[in-house]
Amino acid sequence: MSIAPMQTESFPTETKPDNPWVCIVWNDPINLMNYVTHVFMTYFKYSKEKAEKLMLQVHQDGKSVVSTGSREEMERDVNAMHSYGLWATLQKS
Amino acid sequence: MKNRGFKKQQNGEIYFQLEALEIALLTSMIEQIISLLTPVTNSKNSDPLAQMVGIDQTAQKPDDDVVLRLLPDAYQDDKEASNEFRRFTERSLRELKIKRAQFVLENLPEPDKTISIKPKDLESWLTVLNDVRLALGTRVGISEVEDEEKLSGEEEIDHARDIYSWLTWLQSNLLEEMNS
Repeated sequence: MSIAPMQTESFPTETKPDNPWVCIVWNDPINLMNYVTHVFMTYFKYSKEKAEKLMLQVHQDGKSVVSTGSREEMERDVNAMHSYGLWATLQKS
Repeated sequence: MKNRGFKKQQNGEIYFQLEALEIALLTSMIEQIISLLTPVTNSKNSDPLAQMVGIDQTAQKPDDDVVLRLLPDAYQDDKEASNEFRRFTERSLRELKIKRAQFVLENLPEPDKTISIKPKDLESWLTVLNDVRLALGTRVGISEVEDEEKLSGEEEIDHARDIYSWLTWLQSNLLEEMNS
C-alpha cells in the first residue's frame, strides 16, 4: 500500500480561452422583432426571456453580443445568423 | 369566406392558402432571390475540388446592395478577414438559401387551394419569406425612422411598398401560428 503523492501542482479546473471572441447581432430596419427572438431561441436554444432581452438590446442599443467563444465557434454562429438573414459580425471581445 | 395565410392545425401542421395574385407575386420574388444568389461561375478561376467542399476562391464582397444584405460581411472593420470568410462560407450559404427557396417555390399551393406544411419544413418557409422581405425592403430602402406605409408619390415605389407590407403581414402571420 502506498500513499498517494502530494499534489504539488494545481491545475485550474476551468480554463478560459486566451482570445474569447464574440458574435454581435446588429439592428436593421427590416427584420421583425419576433422573428429575431425566434432565431435566438431556435439556433442558440435560449429561453424566451433571454432571447427577448437580447432582441430588445439589438433594437434599442443598435447591437448586442449574442454569444461568446473561440473564433471558430463565432464564425459558425455568424454564418448561422446570416443564414437566417440577421446582420451579424464577429470580433475579439 | 377566404382563409388566406397560415393557420395551425391540432396536429402541429400549418395550413396555407393564398389567392392567385399573391401566389404569382411570391413566385416571382422567390425566383428573383434564386437568380440573385446563383453564383457566377468563373471557369478560369474555379477549382472543382474546392467547389465541392464549398470553397470559392473568387468570392468577394457583392456590389449589389440586396445581395450584400443577404450575404453580409462577417467582420465589421476587417476587409481581409471578411473576404477570407467569404471564400470559405459564401458558396455554401448561397446554396443553402437557394435550396430553401427552391423548396418553397416547388411547394407553393395552387391559388385558393390549401396545402399542409409539416413542422420540419416550417423553418424553410419562414426563412425564405424573410429573405424575400430583406431583398425587397433593401431595394425600396425601408428604414426605421420612416413609416413603412408612407407613400413616396412614385407609383412604382409605392407599389413595392404595398407588397412589402403584405410580406410583413404574411411573415408575422406564420410566426404567430408557429408560436401559437
